[in-house]
Amino acid sequence: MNDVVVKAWEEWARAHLAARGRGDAVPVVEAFARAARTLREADWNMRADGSDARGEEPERRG
Amino acid sequence: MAEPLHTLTATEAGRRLRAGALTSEALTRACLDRIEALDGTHRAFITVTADEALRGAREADRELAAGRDRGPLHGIPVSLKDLIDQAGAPTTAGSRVRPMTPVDRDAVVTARLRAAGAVLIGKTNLHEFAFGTTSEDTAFGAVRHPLDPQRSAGGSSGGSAVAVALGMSPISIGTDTGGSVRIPAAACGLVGLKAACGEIPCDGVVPLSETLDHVGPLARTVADAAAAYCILARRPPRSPVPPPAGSLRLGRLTGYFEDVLSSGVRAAYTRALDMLTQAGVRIETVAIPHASAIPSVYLHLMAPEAAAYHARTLESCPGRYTPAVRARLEACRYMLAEDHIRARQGQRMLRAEVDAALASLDALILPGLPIEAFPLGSDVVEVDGTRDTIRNLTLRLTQLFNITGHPAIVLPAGRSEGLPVSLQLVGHHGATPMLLDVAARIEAIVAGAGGDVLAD
Repeated sequence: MNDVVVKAWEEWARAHLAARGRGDAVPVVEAFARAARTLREADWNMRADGSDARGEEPERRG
Repeated sequence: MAEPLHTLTATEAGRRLRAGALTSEALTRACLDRIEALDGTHRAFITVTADEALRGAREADRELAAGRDRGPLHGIPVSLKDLIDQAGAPTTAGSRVRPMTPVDRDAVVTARLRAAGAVLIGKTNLHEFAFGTTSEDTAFGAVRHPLDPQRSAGGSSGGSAVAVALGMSPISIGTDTGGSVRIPAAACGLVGLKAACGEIPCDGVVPLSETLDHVGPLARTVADAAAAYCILARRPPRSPVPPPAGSLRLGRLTGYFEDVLSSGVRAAYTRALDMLTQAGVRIETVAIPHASAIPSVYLHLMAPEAAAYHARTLESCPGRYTPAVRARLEACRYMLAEDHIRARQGQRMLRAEVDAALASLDALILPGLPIEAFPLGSDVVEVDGTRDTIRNLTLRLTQLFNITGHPAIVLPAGRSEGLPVSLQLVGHHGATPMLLDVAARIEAIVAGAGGDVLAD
């Protein structure tokens, strides 16, 4: 759902690092992009017991 | 024949100091001799403060002889990870980025140790700026494992672990942002404690991530770790009081926490669980529903803070960093703010999930490290059919409790192919002393499994 944002960010970060002469950090950015996708795919609207908690503050979901 | 002084635990050495059967100067000289004999190979220390240590030891002897007792670490040699300020010595953070000039103030924890009569023996080697788990990317030469110099001692507090494991100081103080006390302690067969978030101040400690950083002790026994914890957290001295095994209820973390373990770690962990069950400890399984997102949450909390601290020097002197650390820090500067916010949501959720898992239990239990100490130079390894980086694997079982702030401790629980394997226990917020009590009971039960390097 948000992949378009991560993809655009990844391309920008690659280009920017290369322009700054820091191309060796590009593989790290690729790993970070994978982590960003995982973070975005996680359902943070779930209680610890798995039930739905949309609209509730995270602190109240335990 | 009496055992060599460098093999004494801090607790036993303290007992002998008070009985007049040992002097702090003799103990300190024994530790300095170990450093002299072994540090050329193992590179545990960056700076050895021998003169200051011997002065401090003689002063401790004078005070104890005069009846002034500053507590359990009075006269005991203690080393500090070289990320922690000690007035009169440089704080290098394992890097050429920082100047080699002495700092003029103690960190808060250093001042507390000094006031407690500890003998400050030197500054230990580490993964540069604590940003790694192998202790091989450092300006001062890779730290080498106490049992096999071709292997990593873990990190980032690798020098601290080697110092304790080889009898160079009975206690060392490290830092733990994603596991940097517990990982090297686990790799080297030691006890490593990360107290609850905020219990031990980080003032005067070079930060990696202010949200996740913790200071904590590495030691050979739970009692020694507890003695150091009380001083670092400015609590009254208190020895652990192990509860009866039959009264203990532990939650075994399954799923993500057991999915990727080397066969040797899995076997040793299973043996240790069997020993606990046979001793009467009740163990039930518990889960963390969002466990698979832990590494992503960790990264997005840590990276922006590390990038902010290093932004200026990444521009002014990038060539002074070790290449791998610089590359990771460069990438940390490219994070989306919305992902950082998402990670903070995740942090609150994970904290609630760990609280829920602990609700009716004394502690959670899981391995400390999913693999044994690995050869230096390793990057990617295959475990249980899963290929992953050493960095991801070593952080896998520890970083959750930096995210949530729960107190956690690792302790030795046997060997796999001659290398230490560890257990990790996680306690309730605000109940680190209770966690130490539980750990002392577990330590007594699994002690027969072996693990302590100096006991060999």
